[in-house]
Amino acid sequence: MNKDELVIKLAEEFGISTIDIYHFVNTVVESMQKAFRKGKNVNITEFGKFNVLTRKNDKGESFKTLSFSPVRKFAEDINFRFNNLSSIPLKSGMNEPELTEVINTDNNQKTLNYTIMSDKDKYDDNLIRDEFPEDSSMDSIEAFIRSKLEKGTGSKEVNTDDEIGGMKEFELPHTIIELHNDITGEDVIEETPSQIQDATENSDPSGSNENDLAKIIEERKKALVHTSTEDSQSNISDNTPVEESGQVVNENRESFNEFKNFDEERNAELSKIIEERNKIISDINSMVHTSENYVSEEPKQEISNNYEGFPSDIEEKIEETTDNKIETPDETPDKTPIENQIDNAADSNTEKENVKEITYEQPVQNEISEITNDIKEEIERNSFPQDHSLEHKPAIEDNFDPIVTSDEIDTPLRPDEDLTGNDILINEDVENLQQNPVENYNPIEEPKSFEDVFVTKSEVTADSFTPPPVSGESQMQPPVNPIPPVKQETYQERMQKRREMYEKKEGSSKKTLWMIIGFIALIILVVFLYNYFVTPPPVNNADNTAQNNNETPGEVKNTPPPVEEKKSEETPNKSEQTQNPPASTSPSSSPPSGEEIIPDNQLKIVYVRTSEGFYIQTGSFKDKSVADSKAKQIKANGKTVAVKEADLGEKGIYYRVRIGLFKTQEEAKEFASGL
Amino acid sequence: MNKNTLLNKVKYKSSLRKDTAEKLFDRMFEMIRESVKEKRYFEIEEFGKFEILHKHMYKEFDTKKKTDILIPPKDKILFTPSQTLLDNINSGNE
Repeated sequence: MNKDELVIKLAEEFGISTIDIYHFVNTVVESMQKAFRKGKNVNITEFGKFNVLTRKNDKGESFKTLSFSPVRKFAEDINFRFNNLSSIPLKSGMNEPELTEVINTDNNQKTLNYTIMSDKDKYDDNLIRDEFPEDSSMDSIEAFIRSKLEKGTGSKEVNTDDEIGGMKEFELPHTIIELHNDITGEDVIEETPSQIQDATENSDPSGSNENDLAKIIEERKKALVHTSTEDSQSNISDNTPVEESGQVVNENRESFNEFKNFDEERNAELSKIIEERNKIISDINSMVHTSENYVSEEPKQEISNNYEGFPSDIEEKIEETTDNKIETPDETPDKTPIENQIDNAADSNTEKENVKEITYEQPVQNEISEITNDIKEEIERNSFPQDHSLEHKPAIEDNFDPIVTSDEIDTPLRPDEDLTGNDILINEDVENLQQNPVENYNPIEEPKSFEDVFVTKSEVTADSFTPPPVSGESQMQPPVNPIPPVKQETYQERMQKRREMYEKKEGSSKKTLWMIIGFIALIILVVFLYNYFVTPPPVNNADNTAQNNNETPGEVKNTPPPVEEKKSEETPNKSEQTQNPPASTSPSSSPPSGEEIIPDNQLKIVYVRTSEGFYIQTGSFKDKSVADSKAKQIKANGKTVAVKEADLGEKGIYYRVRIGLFKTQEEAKEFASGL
Repeated sequence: MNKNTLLNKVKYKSSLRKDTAEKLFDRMFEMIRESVKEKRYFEIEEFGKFEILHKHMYKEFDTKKKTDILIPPKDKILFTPSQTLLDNINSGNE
């Protein structure tokens, strides 16, 4: 806006002619100019203050300038966009904030706010960098970031194949699944998660997690047992490896076959023992039924202990029963399903020669007793049908799985251990998991939110920045570009240099201050020493001279010696008594008012002229007694000899010996020449 | 010099009524304020011009706290007197 526009607008508003308003504006400006010319400041309320300042040119000439300081309200109106902002202490690694527009609801005005984001939050992802994929292609980086974000978001969505209700621990590793698939040619194990999912879906939602877990464990166990049996059966029949899987798969398959063979042998041995036990029990039972005479209420123990005393008839019956029992397979009701499986496997695998060895073609009592003892020992173990796999665990470690260590096998598995990392899952593990309580089992860790992840990063770096409470909304943003900008390094270097400069300046100023203090102290010390050692005290000299004068009485009659003494005594009062003295020059040595000193160089005497007349001053002494003695020694010849006291201020009090009174100077001169 | 003294001088010199002169005086400075706020510029020839100077935010090293401080941006009023006004002011010295 110009002056003309202002005038026109005012004229339109007030309905006054533009000429009048133009003159009005001009008068305002002129009156202000006059005030400025006089050096007056002009303060207009609700607008501002015009200050007149005096400055100097390069040439040193002073000139006046104007400065304007607006009223606070005026300044705030103009600075409405940034009024809500205040200064912020920055920490290291923080970027300059970006400004975003925010519309105030009160004024409907756009104001600006900070959106502060530290470098650490934005770029410095040390944790991510540590785990960052070596492959630097964009796809791998995107996949990595997505995985991080999915972990961090804390979403409880469950993938059907990967996570089922936090049962990630029971997930079989892919190597095992692949092995099974390679060997069997069926996707048996991969079906288990779906089965479990079905189980979880079918289960009541009101049921607790523990019950769900227990169900899942049971079903998982069944599935694993089923697969293991199927694998064992199928593996024996199909020994041909799949060519597509390659050499690694073949090696794994061989090791797996070895393991399987070993397991079969073990099962065969166990099945033999079980058969023996069952046969003997069945024989004994048959014997008990046949020979009722020899059977007591507890037939098993007595018969087993008293085999030696059997008669020949009974022995024949035993032969018959044993032959029949061996031909027909045993199905005892006490057997567990695992035992049945083992028996089936043994039946399918073991040869008939082994069975023939056990048959009692020619039963001997000693052999029977030995077998019974062995069976007793094995029965005492109790755990042999269930825990038989424990005895061969080191063999598993050696033969099959290089990943699992012996310590992990020996120690009982805990429920919170992650089995997914071990690449193997045995029936025993499932049993242990089932036996061990699920009470202490914490299936899922608390999902880390995105903010927690970044808070931990900032804690690790120890340079976290918490932005101050700005009135607007300052929100964190996810890290998009992990590469820090190049500008930031230069800025940090610049600031570091600045700090160093500041520290240097501070140090240098301190040094200079101490230097100055030391210098002043040295000067003071030197002055003190000079005064103490070099310059003697002035008062003592005057006393000494006075004493010297007392020691020379012979010189009293002659006038010159006292004058010489005066010189020595009153060295500062030369103006009074010696050759150079213009009396009016030095105020300290000037005589009192009304007295005029007239020196006589020939006689070396001073004439003192007063209003009364002339006096002859023979000498002045600081000691009064000396002055009195001098006065007594003078032969006055009718004239009065007096001692007059004179106060010379700083020099002290002097006593002057005067002879008088003479009317003229000539009379005084004549008298003095006669002395 | 206050506003009242300036106004009295203007009233004395101008041919307008006192009431209208007062209103006109107030309204004149109010319009200057509005124009500076809206158009960010106002100029009276032979007197000077009002401008708005935008100061960007900048970092400053606080020597007491020994930390960097971010000083927010600011819109500042800047008055530059015209050369005629300066000459007129300085002519009074001679």
